[in-house]
Amino acid sequence: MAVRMTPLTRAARSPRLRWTLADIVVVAYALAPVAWLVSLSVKTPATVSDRNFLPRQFTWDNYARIFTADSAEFLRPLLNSIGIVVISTAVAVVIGAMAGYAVARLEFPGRRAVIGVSLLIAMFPQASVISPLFEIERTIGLFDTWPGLVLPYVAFALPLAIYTMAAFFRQLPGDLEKAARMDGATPGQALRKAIVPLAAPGMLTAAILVFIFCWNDFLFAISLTSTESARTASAALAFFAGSARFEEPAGMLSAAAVVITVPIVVFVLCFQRRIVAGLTSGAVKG
Amino acid sequence: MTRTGTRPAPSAQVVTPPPARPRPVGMAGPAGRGRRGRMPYLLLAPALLVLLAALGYPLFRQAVMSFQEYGLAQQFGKPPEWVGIDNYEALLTDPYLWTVVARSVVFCLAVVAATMVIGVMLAVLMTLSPKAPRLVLQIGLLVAWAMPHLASLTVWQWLFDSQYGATGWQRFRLITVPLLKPVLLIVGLLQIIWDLKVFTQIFVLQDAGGITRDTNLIGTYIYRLGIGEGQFGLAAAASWR
Repeated sequence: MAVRMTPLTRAARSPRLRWTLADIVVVAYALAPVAWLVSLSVKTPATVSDRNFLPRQFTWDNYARIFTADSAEFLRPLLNSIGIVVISTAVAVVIGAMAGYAVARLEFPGRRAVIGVSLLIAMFPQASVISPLFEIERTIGLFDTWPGLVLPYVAFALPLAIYTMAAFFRQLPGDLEKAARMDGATPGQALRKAIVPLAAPGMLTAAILVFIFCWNDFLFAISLTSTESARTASAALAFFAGSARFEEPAGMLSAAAVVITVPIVVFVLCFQRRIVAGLTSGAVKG
Repeated sequence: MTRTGTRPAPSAQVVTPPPARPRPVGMAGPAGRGRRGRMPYLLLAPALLVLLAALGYPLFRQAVMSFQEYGLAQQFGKPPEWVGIDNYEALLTDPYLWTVVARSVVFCLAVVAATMVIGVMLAVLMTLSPKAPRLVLQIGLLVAWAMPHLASLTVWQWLFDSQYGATGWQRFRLITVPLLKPVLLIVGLLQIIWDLKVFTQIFVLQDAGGITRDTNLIGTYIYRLGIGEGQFGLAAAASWR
């Protein structure tokens, strides 16, 4: 049995190390695009297409230029993104919390229908309402405006918000409203005084998920906007020309892509526990 | 690899009410019954309004438009003409539609299979990993999932474009755990639905070159018919098909 092992093979046989190595491989694969973007974004125009992973010449120029170039190209779309997504998130979470409360803690005819319809919307291929939505928004003047994007964002984020909030409300103790009612509160007061103050953690989880969903949208953004007055950052990337006409804008494009990825990365780092809990709450606790 | 996850794994079981659901409060006592009876609907009303405006009415318009001649001229005020089932006939007899449908189905099945196999492997990996690496893995995967598709796809576009050879399709096999079957079934079903409506990934990568006609799936096909070519009637019919 005395097989002589070098330290290396012994290490490789330790399951701990083996699984850690596997983790590293997966993470490297998952994050390769991000790393590549970051690398491209700090290369100089001369070296941007040299196919080297590590930049040979380092520069912050690309970042400086996307913020100083014609503001219609990136700065304004970035502000549009932030504004539209924050408004959509706030609206969707409040409306979703109300509906989620009704579904989770009230009994009424049609409750199951509500759950079924939300599931249907969550599964709905968004591409198939794009044409009529485009046409309707053109007619009533919502096309290429903030509300024109907020409306579909809220609609398609609602199932997510409703499920997250319903799962959250379900795990609150069942006697909360009853106790409030004993003290003479009406159902409305019981909701306002006993439930709403406790809803903050659930609303935060829902808000994070809705924010990510809206921030990443591309289909509505390119279909329902046409100028910088409402075009969002991810749509603007698709039309990115760069400040210099005859120059490969790859560096600036990557810088812009990194900028719109940063909030998402920060969110994930700060809230990963909450995100996973929110993503699984519907399925596990449901 | 397709990141289908704008919509997180939900919720399939939300439909079954949990055993320990708190006793509904809307039912007690005769006094004030009207108020209590109205409350759920008042709470649901805003959600319903938004859905009707952003989904209900467009779907209705869609259904109407699919029976009309509705193109660019109608965009500028020409009244649409009723054409019966002409749009459907035009679509269903166009062999290209069937190419797109077949491609969608194949794409969807391949991606579902790959996603599920890799997903199971990753799940196993997560349960076996020591704590710290598992945290890193989880954060890495979440970033990949949550990152704007457009940003990551831009890189994939260049990878395909310049033939760096991003070919790393590992073949995974031998992971049929009977215990996992029900979970796999649900995840598979959801995955099928998600993959059938994939849009961003295809749309962006089509810009990497190649012939758009050769890579359209249902989502991008509807988009290009409607907004790309102004054939709203046809696009409407394609959505209803």
